[in-house]
Amino acid sequence: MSLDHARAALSGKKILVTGATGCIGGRLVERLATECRVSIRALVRSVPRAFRIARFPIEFVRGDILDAEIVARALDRCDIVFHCAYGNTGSEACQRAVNLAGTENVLKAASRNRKLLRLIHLSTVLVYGITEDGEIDERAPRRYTGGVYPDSKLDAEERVLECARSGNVPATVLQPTEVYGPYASVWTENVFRRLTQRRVLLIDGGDGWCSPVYVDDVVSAMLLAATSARGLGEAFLIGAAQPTTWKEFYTRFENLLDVRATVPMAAGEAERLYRQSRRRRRGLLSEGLKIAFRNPEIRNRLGRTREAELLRRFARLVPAPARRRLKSALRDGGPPGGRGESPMTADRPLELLDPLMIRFYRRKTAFRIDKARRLLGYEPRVSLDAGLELTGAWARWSNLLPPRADRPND
Amino acid sequence: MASVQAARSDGSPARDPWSDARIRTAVVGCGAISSISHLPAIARSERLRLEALVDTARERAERLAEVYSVPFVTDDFRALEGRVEAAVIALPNHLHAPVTIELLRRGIHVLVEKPMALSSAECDAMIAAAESSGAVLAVGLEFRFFGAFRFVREVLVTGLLGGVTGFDLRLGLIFNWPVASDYLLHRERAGGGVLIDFGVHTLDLLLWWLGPWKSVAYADDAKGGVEANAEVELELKNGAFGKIELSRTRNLRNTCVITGELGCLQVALWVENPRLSLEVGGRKLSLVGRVTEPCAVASFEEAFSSELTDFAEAIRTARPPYVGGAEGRKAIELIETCYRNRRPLKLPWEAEH
Repeated sequence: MSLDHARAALSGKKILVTGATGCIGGRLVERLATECRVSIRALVRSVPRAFRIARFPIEFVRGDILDAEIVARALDRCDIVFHCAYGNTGSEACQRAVNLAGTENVLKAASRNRKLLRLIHLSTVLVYGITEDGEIDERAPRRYTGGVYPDSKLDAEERVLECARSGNVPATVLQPTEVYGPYASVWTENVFRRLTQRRVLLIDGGDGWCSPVYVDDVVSAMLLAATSARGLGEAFLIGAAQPTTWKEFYTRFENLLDVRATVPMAAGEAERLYRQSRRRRRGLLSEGLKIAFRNPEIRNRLGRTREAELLRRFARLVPAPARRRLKSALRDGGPPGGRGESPMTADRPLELLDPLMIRFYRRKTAFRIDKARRLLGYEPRVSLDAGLELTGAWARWSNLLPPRADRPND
Repeated sequence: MASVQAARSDGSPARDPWSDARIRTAVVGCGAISSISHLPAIARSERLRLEALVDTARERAERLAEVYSVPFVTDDFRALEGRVEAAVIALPNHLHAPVTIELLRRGIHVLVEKPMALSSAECDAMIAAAESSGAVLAVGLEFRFFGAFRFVREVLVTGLLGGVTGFDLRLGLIFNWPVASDYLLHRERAGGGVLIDFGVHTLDLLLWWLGPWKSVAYADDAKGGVEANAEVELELKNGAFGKIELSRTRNLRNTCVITGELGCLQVALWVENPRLSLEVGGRKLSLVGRVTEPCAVASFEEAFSSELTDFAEAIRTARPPYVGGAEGRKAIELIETCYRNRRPLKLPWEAEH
C-alpha cells in the first residue's frame, strides 16, 4: 500500500476527525482537505481553537466527546473515523474521562454505524511504560506508569482492541512516539518554551534515546492505516526509522532558538536535586494556592473575585517589563530569561525532573516500526533535519523564534 | 463625547432630554458579545433601558432576561415594532444587513455590531434605509472611542509627523473568546475569517487615521473556508504605503507603527489603556506613555458605554452618531476588494507529500 493508493481509496469517503483542533488532528484535516477528495467532518468543542481547520470547507459538529448523543450524531453516516481527541486540560478526572468515556462513546457509536469501514484510534508509545534498553516492538507488554495520560490511554487502547477483535468495530490502533512539528505541544511548543524560560536537564548528558517523528509522517501512517485491509484489530508503533539521542534532539531546538539552555547532568545527581527540592517545605498559603490554581474552574472563580480585580488594577500601575518579570517569577518560581533578553541562561531556574522522567530520558529503547512498514507500507519520510527545518519555518512565522535580521519589524 | 447638557444662550438651564424616559432598547442576538459587553453596558446606562431580548435560542435569551430583568423575550425581531425605539444588533455577520434594514424601515434606531455588513452594496442599502426612515444607524466600531486612538488621529490630523510615508500594523491573537455560536467557522455566515472579524477594526482605524486608500494587494491562508491569517499591502491616496498582518493562530507584535517625514508613532492594539510611543524632531525626541484625561476611554467596558451614550444622544438630539453608516462602510469596501483580489498565502511547512 502506498500513500497514493491510500488517497485513492479514501476518495469519496465521509470522514470524521475527533481532536481535529489538536496538532495531529489539525494536520490530518489539512492533509485530507488538500490531498484527498473526501468530505470532512470535525467534532469540535472550542470555536476559537478550530480557526486553524476552518480554513477548509469542512462540516463542524460542535460539542463534547463526553456527550454520547453528540458523538453519535458526529459519527452518523461516516465511513472512516480518526479518533485523535484526548484529555489535555482540566482536572485529572476530567482528562481521564475524555480518554476513557470519550473513547467509549466513539466505540458505541461506531458499533452502531453499519457503514463504518475503519476507526483509527490514536494511542501512544507510552502504553509500554518506561521501557528497558534494547529493541521493542508491539509484542512488548503494556505497563502502567502511574500517570493519568499514559494509563488512561492504555485502558482506552485496550478497549478499542477488544472491540476490534470481537468484531464489533473495525478498528486499528496507532502508537506514535515523540511527535514534533508545527503546533505539537509537548515536543515542540513546550520545548521552545522550556528552552527560553529555564535550564533544561540532559540526563546522562542526553545519552538516552528518543524516536522523534515528524507530524506529517504520523498523518501518513493514519491515511495508510485507514485504507489498509491488514491492520484490523492491530496496534502499530509509529516512529522514526532510527533512534536519536536526546542531546541531538534538544541541541537542534537550541540551534533554532540560538540559545544554550541545556545542562548535562548524571541521573543520580538529577535525582538528588529532585529529592532535595521535595524536602523544602512550602507554607500553607502558597501550597493551598498552588493546589487551587491547578484546577481551571477554581482558577477562574478566584480570578473573578473583587480582590483579584484589585490586584489586576494594581498590576496595571507596574511598568510592563517589571510586570513581565514578576509574572514569570510567580509562574516558574524564578527569574525569566526569555526571548529578547540576555542570552545568559545561568540565572534561569533549573527544570527538575521526577524519577519517572529521569528514567524516561535515560533509557535507550529502539522502537521497531517493522510491523507498520510490513503491513501498512509506512515509512518515515521526513528526516530530523528536514523536519526541524519545517518546524523552524513554522516557529519563526508563529513568533516563537527570534526574528531574522532581514525582518526587523517582527 | 460632548455633553448634551450645555446651557442655552438665554442662560436658562438646558432641558435634560433623559428626564422623560430612557430609550427603550432591544438587544437582537444574545451571543457572547451581547452577554459580555452590550447587556452590562445598557444595564449601566442612564440613557437606555433594556426592553427586549431577541434570539432564536430562546432559552439563552430567557436566561439573560432574568439576569437583567428584561420584560420581553422573543425569537422574532419583527415583534419589536411598537415595543422599542432602538435596537443593538449582535447577530451572526450575514444577518447584520437584512435585520438592520427591516428595523430601520420600521423606524427603529439601530446600533449594528461590526462588521457593518458583508458587502458595500449591503452597506448602501442600510444607509438608504436609515435616510428614508430618519432612524439613526450607528456602527459598533468601539475602538474609535478609545482615548489613545483618538490621540493618534489628532497627531496625524495636526501634522505632527509631517506627511505620512508608511505604516506597519500587526495584530495576532490566539484567543479563547467564549463564543455561543459557531458561525465564525462558516464563510457564508461570517463573510470571511480574520480579515472581516477583528481585521475590520484595524482597517477602520487605519482609514480613519490616514485617509482613503488607492490600491490594495491581499493574501490569506483560506482554502475554501475562512482565513486564519491574512496579509494586506495597502497604498493610500496620500502616497503612503504599508502592510497589515492579521492572525488568529499566532500572537503577533500587536501594534501599529506609523512613520511620517518628521517622526514616528507606535500604538498598542487590542489592549486596555493602549500605550503610545511618539518620536518627533527628526526622531530625536521621544515620548512614551498613555493617554489620560480628558478623553479617558481606556477600557473595552468604557468604550462600549461611550458607544451607547453616543448612540442615545444621536437619537435624542437628532445628530449623526460618532460612527455612522458611511464611516462603517469604508472598511467593508476595502475588505470586499481584498477578498475579490485574494491570493493564496504561502505557508512553507504545508508542502504536500
